[in-house]
Amino acid sequence: MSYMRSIRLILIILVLFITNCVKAGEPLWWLTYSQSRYIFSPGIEACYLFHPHIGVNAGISAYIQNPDHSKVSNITHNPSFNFYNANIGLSGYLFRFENQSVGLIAGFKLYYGPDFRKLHYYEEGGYYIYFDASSLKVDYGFDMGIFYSYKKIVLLAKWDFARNRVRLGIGYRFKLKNIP
Amino acid sequence: MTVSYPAREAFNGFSPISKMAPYTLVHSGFYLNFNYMGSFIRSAIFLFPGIMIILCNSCEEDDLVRRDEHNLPIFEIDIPEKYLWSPDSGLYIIGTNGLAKGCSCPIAANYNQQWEYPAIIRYTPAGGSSPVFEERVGFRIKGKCSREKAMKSIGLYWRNEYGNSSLVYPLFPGSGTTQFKRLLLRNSGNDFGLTQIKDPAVIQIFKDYARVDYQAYAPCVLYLNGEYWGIHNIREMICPHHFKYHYNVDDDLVDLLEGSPFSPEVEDGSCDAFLQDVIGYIENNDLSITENYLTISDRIDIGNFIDYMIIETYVGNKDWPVTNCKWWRENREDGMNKWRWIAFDHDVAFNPRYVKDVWIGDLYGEPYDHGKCPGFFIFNNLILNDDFVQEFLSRYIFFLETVFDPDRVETIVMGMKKELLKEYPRHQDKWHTLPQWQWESAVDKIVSVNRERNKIMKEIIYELYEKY
Repeated sequence: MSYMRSIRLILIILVLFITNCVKAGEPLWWLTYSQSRYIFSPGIEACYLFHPHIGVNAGISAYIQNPDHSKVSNITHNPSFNFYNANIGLSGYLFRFENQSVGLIAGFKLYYGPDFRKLHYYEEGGYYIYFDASSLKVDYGFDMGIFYSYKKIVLLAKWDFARNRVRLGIGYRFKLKNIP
Repeated sequence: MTVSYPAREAFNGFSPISKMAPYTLVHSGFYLNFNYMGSFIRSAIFLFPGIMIILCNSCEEDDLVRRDEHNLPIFEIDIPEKYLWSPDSGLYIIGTNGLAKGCSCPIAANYNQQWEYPAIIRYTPAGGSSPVFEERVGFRIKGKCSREKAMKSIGLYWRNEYGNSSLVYPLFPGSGTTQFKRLLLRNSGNDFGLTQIKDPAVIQIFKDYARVDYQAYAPCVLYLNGEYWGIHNIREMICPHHFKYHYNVDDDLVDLLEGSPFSPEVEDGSCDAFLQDVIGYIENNDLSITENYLTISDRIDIGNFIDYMIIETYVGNKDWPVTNCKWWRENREDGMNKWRWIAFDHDVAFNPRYVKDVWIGDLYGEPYDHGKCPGFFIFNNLILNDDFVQEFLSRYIFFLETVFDPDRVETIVMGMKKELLKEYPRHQDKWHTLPQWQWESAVDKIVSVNRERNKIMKEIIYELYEKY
């Protein structure tokens, strides 16, 4: 599948990029989490600020799905392959004040994992029936967010337009003194 | 599995919309459903902190279907909600009472069951303002791997228990019959979410020339219990009645087989004659000898088999021949007693990845291992005979120059795309399929792959033609 080849390529690029970030010695790392209908998605995100105001970032996440079989019309993803999404983009500080700083993060996001959407409202049961729309296509789009750091702790909140989802992160700033 | 068919009385008072619960509690509010002055009122009341929002809409039941908004025929199906969505008996969900089988994600699912439920259908032709027929039928989920898709194929069964034993209406202009006992509202199988027309496109391309049986096609819009349900393909269902209505054969005498020629699944009738008279004969006799070839020609329809092999191999139907392979005959001496093959399910055809695969058995390239590829067993024995090879190659050239002519194929496929163009955005919105530009690009790919395939196969077939 050409989709799978594209995803493998993106994963390789991400791994190379993240490895480079670590070697460069000035990365911000986040553990991220996102949740949507029947999907729990942990991930990691890294950012390397190569300039006082500009950096690059990339992230990747997996998923655990737990659909209620009584309420879904289909499940299309093989549970053994848990890649969910990846993103790559630019980031930078908006302002900094003593131990605190606020920055922006934006880029391109690609989803491959499951995507449960409302199909029908089952009146007799009093609940919605969902369907997994993800087998039909890879979703991609723009994502953007904001991060806030206090000393070495960095908080992240992102929104993506690929599936209109929020992703939150908590992270660590490894070498604060090296960043101007 | 035994299927119990509900009696005609099951339809009494059948009106799912009016059977809605009077109120339903949901996450942040509740719905109220009631009738007022003959109108059905559905109101939604949502409670947010400090805010109450009340939404109401009113509609006549028939107004749920927007007939003037579609340029395609409209099928409406009314079926009690529990038969679709309840955990223990709902056919459209995975549910809690499932049968374990599947392809990419095998799980025990209700939609794998062969359950049949009563339903009422209505049909409005393209441009029509009201239905031209209303029928009481049996409702099933159909398909193999495509049952796992979000939008599912639906089988409609006419039975005396429901009302009429068959439908008489010209659903497919130009088709050989106007009578149907079973119909499919197909989700386009494995092509669902992609072009939506892959198999119908192959059929439309060959149907006026090839000597094979096929399922007629017409696109439609489906409303399920008044809710828009997307573009479905109306198709004939391959069953003994299909041959009865097309060839006037006795449907009780039809042998209909499927799968591997060495161990066919029997859909109807028996496979004994096929295994003995065709497979057994080929295994024990050299078909390069004219006498033997003439004997086998009396048992299988050679013209049909040649056209069938050309179509399946040319379009690169890669989930064929062991699956998606059906053949039939009338088990009567003076009837259509030669075995004939049926071309169907070309959902993976015209894949650019396989455009260079010549795929004509032992006629070109390395010999086939029949243990691994039993579907080519008959063909690879027939090509031992020079008369067969010459007829096959001559016919293949005709197909390349006429049937699969790139300009002709482009005209047909673009016509089919144009037919769906207006409806596609709504279908896309319902099922989150490919965006419009990607869908159009996927359809255009059929044309470009055919153009390339035609060029490649012309070189090879003409080369073989010179050789033989």
